[in-house]
Amino acid sequence: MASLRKQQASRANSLRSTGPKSSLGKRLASQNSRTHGLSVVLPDEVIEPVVAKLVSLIMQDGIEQNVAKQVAIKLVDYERNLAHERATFVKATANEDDAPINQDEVLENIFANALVEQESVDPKSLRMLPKHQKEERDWMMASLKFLIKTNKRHQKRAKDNSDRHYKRAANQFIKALRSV
Amino acid sequence: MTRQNKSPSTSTALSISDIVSTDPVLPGESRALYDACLRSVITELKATTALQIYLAEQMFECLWWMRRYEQQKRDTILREMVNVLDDSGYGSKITESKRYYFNLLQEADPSEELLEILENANHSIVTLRQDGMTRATGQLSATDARIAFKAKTLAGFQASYEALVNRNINRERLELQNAILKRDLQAIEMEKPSRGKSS
Repeated sequence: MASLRKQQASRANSLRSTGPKSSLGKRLASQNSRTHGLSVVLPDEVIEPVVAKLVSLIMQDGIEQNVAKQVAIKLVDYERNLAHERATFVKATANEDDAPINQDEVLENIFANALVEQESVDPKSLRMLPKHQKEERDWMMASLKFLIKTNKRHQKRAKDNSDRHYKRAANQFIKALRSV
Repeated sequence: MTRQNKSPSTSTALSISDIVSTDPVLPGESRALYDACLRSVITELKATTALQIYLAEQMFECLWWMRRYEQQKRDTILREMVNVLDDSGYGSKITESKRYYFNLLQEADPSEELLEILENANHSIVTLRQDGMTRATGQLSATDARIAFKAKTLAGFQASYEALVNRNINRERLELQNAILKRDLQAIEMEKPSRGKSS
């Protein structure tokens, strides 16, 4: 168990990081959970008519109505994830000219280009820089590297999350079919 | 959410895909090939009901996705090979020089031009490919994981399809067995218990 001093330090530190302070930060943080929208529960008025049509088709196989409804609900969820997978794949493999604007990619390019610009500076001119400017440059380079890394991690997390949703939807759909 | 072009199996009756599915053919893919392969899968499986046809479609789509991911793996390696030769840009940005290398590497036999570029970069086509694969390890393993999951989903759909098709057969078999049992039971002559006292 952590010592009392450590616990107090930890509590004090936690008070410093209680979320974004600026209005821009708050606005950005409010979009954190909206990476793919697959967790959003579809409203009944949207899903019910679709499920009703599916149930009548599934019941052609002699399946009971309540079981058919369960299969239909899982089927809709599976199709929703599949559509997202297709859209993500198209976005990831589209040509540069046709691709829709991806905010993460734009940021990545901005950071990367800034890094390339800094790296291409003549080393001789760097030697001439005063100490505080050198330190500032090093700090900026480290920040850019950190931002690129964080941005990539963010993109990967969003992709992993949608993969997880797809896997769950596929497994649940197959499970529902097995119960028939 | 309606399919843009109707699948070959569903030209007359309403199918599940017509209600829920989006277009399974992505830009740059051959619709004719997709439709022809799907038709052959449905014929092979002898799918008749809406759910059977839908499951056959999903099985085929898993196979299609696996093929798509294999293609993506090839493209990823190629892109990283290009990045080895020209590291000027980051991310998915494709510069003119990258496009030029990309076209050279896509040729079946390495041209004189490519061999010269490789020599200047201290590479052979084999070392360049190895370098590209090393750089793309993360992406390749992620794609492999997706292929593996598609294979697992395909197996799940196959098992579900078999269970669905066999369901009717099993029901008929049970009904027949019940009828035979009933007939056998009726055939047994029950002896009437005698009420008279035995002397």
